[in-house]
Amino acid sequence: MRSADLSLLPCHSCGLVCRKQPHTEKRLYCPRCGSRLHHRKPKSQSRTLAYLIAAIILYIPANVMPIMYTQKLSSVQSHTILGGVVQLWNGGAMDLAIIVFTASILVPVTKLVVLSYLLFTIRRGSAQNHLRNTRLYRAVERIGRWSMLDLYVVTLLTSLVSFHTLANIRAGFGIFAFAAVVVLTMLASMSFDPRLIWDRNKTNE
Amino acid sequence: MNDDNAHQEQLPEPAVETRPRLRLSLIWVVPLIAALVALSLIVKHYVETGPSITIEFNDAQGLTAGKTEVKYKDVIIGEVSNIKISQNYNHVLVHVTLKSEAARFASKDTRYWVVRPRVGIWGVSGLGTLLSGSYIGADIGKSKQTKHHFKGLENPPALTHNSSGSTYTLMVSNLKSLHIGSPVYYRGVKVGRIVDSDLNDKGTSVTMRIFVESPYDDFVRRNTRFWNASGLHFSMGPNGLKVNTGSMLMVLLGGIAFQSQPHAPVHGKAHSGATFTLYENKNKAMKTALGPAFTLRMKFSQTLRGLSTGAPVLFRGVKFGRVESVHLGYDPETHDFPQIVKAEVHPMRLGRIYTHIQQLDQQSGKKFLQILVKKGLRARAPKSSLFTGARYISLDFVSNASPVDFHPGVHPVDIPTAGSSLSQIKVRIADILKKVDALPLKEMSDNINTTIKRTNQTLKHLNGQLLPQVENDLKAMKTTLETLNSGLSESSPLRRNLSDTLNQINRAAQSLKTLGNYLSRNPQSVIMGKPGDPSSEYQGNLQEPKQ
Repeated sequence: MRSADLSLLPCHSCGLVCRKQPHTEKRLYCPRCGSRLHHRKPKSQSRTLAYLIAAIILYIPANVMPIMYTQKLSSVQSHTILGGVVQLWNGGAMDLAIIVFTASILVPVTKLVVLSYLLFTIRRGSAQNHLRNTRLYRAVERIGRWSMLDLYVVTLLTSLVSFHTLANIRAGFGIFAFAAVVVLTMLASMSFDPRLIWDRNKTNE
Repeated sequence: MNDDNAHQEQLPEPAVETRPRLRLSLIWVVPLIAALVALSLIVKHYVETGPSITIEFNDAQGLTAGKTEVKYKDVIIGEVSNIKISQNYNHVLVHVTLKSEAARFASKDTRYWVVRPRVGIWGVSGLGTLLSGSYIGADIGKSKQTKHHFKGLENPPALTHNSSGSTYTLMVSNLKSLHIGSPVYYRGVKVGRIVDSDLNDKGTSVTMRIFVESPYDDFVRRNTRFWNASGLHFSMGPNGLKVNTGSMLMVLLGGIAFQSQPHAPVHGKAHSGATFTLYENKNKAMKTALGPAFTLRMKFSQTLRGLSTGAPVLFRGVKFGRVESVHLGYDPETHDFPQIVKAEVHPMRLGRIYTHIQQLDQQSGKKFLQILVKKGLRARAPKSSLFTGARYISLDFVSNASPVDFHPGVHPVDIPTAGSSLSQIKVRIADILKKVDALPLKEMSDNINTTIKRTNQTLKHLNGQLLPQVENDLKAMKTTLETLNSGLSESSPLRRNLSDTLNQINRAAQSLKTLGNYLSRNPQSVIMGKPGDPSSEYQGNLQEPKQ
C-alpha cells in the first residue's frame, strides 16, 4: 500500500498529508510550510540517468589523465590514479595501495554500476529482489563520501609541497574530472528515489 | 474506501503552480557538458601530439619511458613513449612522441643524442642531468623531407645546424692531442672548434673538420696556414734552446691555430669546405712554400743501413728535400741488389736560378741538371752521426768524378751516385790491398830463397878455404910481430945501442946549446976565439975552417 494508491500526498518537510491533485503537470507546494510536494522525487529517473551518463563520460579522463604532476628539479613526473596505486603496491605499501584503490577506483565504479543497475531494473519493471536493491542503494549512499579521499590528498599535497624549483606538485586535469565524477555520482544517488524500486511491487498489493 | 473518501473531503487542496513550465528538462545539460569536456580533451590531445619518431641508440642508459623528455634549447619538444630493443638485439629503439609544434623535428637531417653529465678536460657539461636525469637533445634540421627513424648520436654534435660560420677540412698525419671539440684560435682568440675527425679510407692520414664561427671565417684565406698549437715545442737554434708554447690552456687542451704567412700576398677568402694541411707547429707552418716537388731516384751499391724514410736530402749542405722510400732493387746482369732510394726534392730551394730556369722553357731544367751532373753532381749517403748511424743523402759535386750516362728525360730522374767519403777511403784501401795482392810475392820469395842459398854456399866456401889461409897468414904475422917485439925488448942489444946512441945525441945537443949561449954572449969569440980558454984547442979546431 502506497500513499499514491490512496491518492494522498505527504509533505516531506512537515509531514502534512494532502489530497492528491489531478493537475499532475503543475508543481504542488505544501500549504502549511511551503515545501514542494511530490509523490516521488521529480524526474528521478531521467535526472539520475543524466548524472550517471555525465559521470561515466568524465570517469574516462579522470583515470587516463594525470591527477598530479610532481616536479623534482627539472624533471616532471605525472601520476594517474591507477599508476599511483601500482606505484604504491610495487613500493611495498600494499595497505595504502588497497585504501587508495578502494577509495578512488572501487567506490566510484561501484556507485556507477549499482546506480546503473537500479535504473535498469526500474526501467525494465523487474518485480524481484526489491529488498536487495534497496539495500544496495543504501550501501551506495553510505560509501559515496569516501571517494573524496583522493581529492583531499591532491589538494593537501599541492598546497604543502611547493618549493618552487626544488620540488613542486601541481594538480592535473584528471583530478578535476575525478572530482566531477564524485560530485555527479553523489547527485545521481541523491536524485534517485529508492521508492521507485517498490513502485512495481506486486507482492505488496 | 468510503471512509477514505470522507476523510479526503476534509483535506485542503494543494496550491497549483501558476508559471508555465519548460518542457525540456535542464538536467540533460550536465551530461552534455561532460561530453563536451571529454571531447575537448580528445581534440586537444590530437592537436598537441605531433609526429611519433623512433631513435636508435646503442644503449638506453638514463632513459625512461614516459619520463625522459626530448629538449631543444632546453625547451621540451617531446617525450619518450617507450623503449624497445631492436630486432637484431644490437640497438635500443626509443619511441618519441613529439609535440605538435615540434613537428619540424621529424625532418631528415635532425640529430638526436642523449644528454648525460660528461666530464672532460675541456669542461663539464650536462651537469643539470645529474639531478634531473638524462634527456634527449635535439638539433633541428633544415631539410623539408620528413623522416621517422633516426640514428642517435653517441656524443653531442659539436656543430649545430643554426650556427653560422664555415667548415674547413684539415689533413694531418696524426691527430695527437687534438680531439673533437678542441678549440681553433686566431691570434689567441677562440674562433671555432674541431667538429669531427676521421681516418681516410686507406688509413694513412686523418681528416678533420673544423668549424670557424662567423665573422672570423673571413680570416681564413686560401693561403692561410693551420698548425697544431697544442703542447710544447722545443727548438735548438743558434740562439740556444727556444720553447714555443701557446697559452697554458692550449698546452693542456690542445688546439689549432691559423694565420696567413707574413709578407704573403693577401688571397681571397677560402670557400667553406676548403681543404688545408695542418702543420706540426707554427715554425713549419710559417716557412715559405717548398714549391713543387720533384722526384729523384738514386741507385746505391753500398749498404744504406741507417737511411730511413724522411731522412733529409741536402744539396751542398742546404736542406733540399726528403727521402721518400728506400728499397732493394735487382740487377739481373750482375745479380746485384742495389739500394734504390727515391727522394722528393724542392728545386725552389735553389733560389733565383730556379725561377730563372722555370721561365725559360720546359727542357731547360733538365738541361741544367745535365750540366750539373757533367760537372760532377753525385748523390752520396754519408752518415750524419757516427753514434746513431743515421744517414742522409748528400747531393754535391765530386771532383774528378767518372763520367756517367745521364738521361734527364726519364721519370724519375736517376742521379748518379758516388760512395760516401768514408766508403771512398775503404775503396782506396781495398785498391791498395788489391795492388798488394797483385804483387808476385811467390817469385819474390823464391828469388830471395835462392839468393840466401847462394850466400850460404859462398860462406861455406869462405869457411872451408879462405879461413885457414887467413889463419896461417895471421900466425906468420904474429911471429913477425913477436920477433919485432923481442928485438925491441929492454935487454936486447939493439935497444941498448939505440939508447946509447940517443944519450950521445942528447949530450951533443947539450953541448950545442952551451955553445949557442956562449956565442950569443960573446959573438966576437967566433973571430977571436976564446980567451984563455983551456978549450982553445977545441976552439982552434973550430976555427980552422975559418982560416
